[in-house]
Amino acid sequence: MFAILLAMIASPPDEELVQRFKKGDRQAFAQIVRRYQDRVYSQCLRWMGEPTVAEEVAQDVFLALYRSLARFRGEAALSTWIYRVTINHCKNRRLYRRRRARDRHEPLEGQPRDDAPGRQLAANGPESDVLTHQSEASALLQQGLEAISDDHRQVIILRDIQDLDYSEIASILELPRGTVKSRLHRARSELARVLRNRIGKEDVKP
Amino acid sequence: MDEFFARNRLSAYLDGELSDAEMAEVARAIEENPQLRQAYGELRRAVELTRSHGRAKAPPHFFAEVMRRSDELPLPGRWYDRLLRPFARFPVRSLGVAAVAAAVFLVIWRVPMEKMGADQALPPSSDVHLEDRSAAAPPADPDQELSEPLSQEEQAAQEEQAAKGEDQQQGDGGELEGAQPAAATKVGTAKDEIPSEKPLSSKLGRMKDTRGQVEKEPAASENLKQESLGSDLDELLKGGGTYIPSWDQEQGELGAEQQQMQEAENQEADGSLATSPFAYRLNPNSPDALRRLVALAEKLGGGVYGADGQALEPHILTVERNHAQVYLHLPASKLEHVEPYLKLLGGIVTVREDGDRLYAADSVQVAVEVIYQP
Repeated sequence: MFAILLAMIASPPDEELVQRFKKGDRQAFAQIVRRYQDRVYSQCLRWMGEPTVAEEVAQDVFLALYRSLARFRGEAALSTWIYRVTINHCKNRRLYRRRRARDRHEPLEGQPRDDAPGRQLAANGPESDVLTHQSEASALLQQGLEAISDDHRQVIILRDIQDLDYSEIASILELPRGTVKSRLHRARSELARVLRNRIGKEDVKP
Repeated sequence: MDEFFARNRLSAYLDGELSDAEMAEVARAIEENPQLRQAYGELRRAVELTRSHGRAKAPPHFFAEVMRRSDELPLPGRWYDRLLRPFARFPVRSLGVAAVAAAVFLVIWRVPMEKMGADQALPPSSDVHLEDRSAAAPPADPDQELSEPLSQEEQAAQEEQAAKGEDQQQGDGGELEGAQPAAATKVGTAKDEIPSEKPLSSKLGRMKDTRGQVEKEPAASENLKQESLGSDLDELLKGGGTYIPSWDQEQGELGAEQQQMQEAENQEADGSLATSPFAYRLNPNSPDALRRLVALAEKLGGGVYGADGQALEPHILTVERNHAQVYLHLPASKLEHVEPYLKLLGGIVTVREDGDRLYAADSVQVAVEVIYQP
């Protein structure tokens, strides 16, 4: 009982943290960052592909939250709001990078590069085979996600990486639940097809 | 179960999002149909790969870095932030800083000017000071007076000699002769160094120029954005359209048909104005507004794209084809430059900032709907 009370005090609900932050409690914001940093970073990483860019975007997301949390009306859950803000940031950044790359005639994002993190790690020969396998699998997944459309990517990230249920995804994307279900089916089918074409189905074994 | 029906439910089947009856039917179809079984296998492996390798932990320094960067931002609970919150969309803070800077500059500038106004008879260089003293003007600087007692004595002697009359002056000519050459030398020195007045006039000129700048400062800062983009663009944007300051005003001025048309457009759920964080609607009276928009975006280091994400070729709007919906992709730092130019291009109807839709720090997408109204 005491442990439960302690846990509740240690991790107050999002609504309470928001209220405290609105009153000027900086520690409340710190708790929000700790609570969501892995989720936001994961999402950014799968959108952007490169860890440094993902980190930059994720930091921008939290700073944007810091600036606008006072205007948060609480009509949706804080997590929903954070996911939505993250998606918008990632989409904007991708558009910007794509346009810049096109203007400078650089290779577009999504095209496999020799210096991609997963390939680099594998080529450098990490000591553990497990690590090699993990990095290769991660790189493969990233290539697959890069190859599918933005709409499909975002629904896969929310469902299979963030582990959100259909209703939460529907709320974040402002779509009917049935649309989420059908879009997720199409997205997964597209990802499976891309992965099969890329390496052959025998290598896709988890 | 029909294969098509089962195939479309494989994803939901994986997530357990079907009813018990449907789950059983799909399971049976997978067992019986090899093609369906293969499709299910591929789908399951893709999902498992995503679930097992999709997550990542934030770097160890991530939290500290976010907190460090947020340190530079004000906390929402502070009284002045609450005060400024209604004006969040206006650069109140920047304007305040600019106003204070301008005030400080004015004060710093006015003090020497006033001082100069009082001392305007006194030239700035020491040579000209000597000239003034030779003309029996009281020294302006008491410190200087104390530091040169000899010249004071000389002046006193001159006055005494003048009171005594010409004869006595002639009689004591040696003394005066001794003083006069010195004074003459000083005057001569001052006259020889007339160019020393040039720095004074140029200094005054500089100060006048500076005053001009200060007086023109607010106007200059207002026009800075336009000036920084170059005169060619200024020329390009000149006379672009009519600025309509608010949506309500436009509603009052437009005809009923146009109002209905625009309201219908507003209600489009997937329209850019509904989904972009920054949305503008222009009503230019010039057919080449799009060309100007492209030029503006390129000047700002961005570009204009159509709804399909393809770069927009500048084209001319016509009476028949009078509508275009485009996106400006710009560095976020240039966002503030956009609005003044859009005003020149033709009335901004509305600018929306939705708290839920924030823009990235280094890039921003601005939706612009252009309706040509000749």
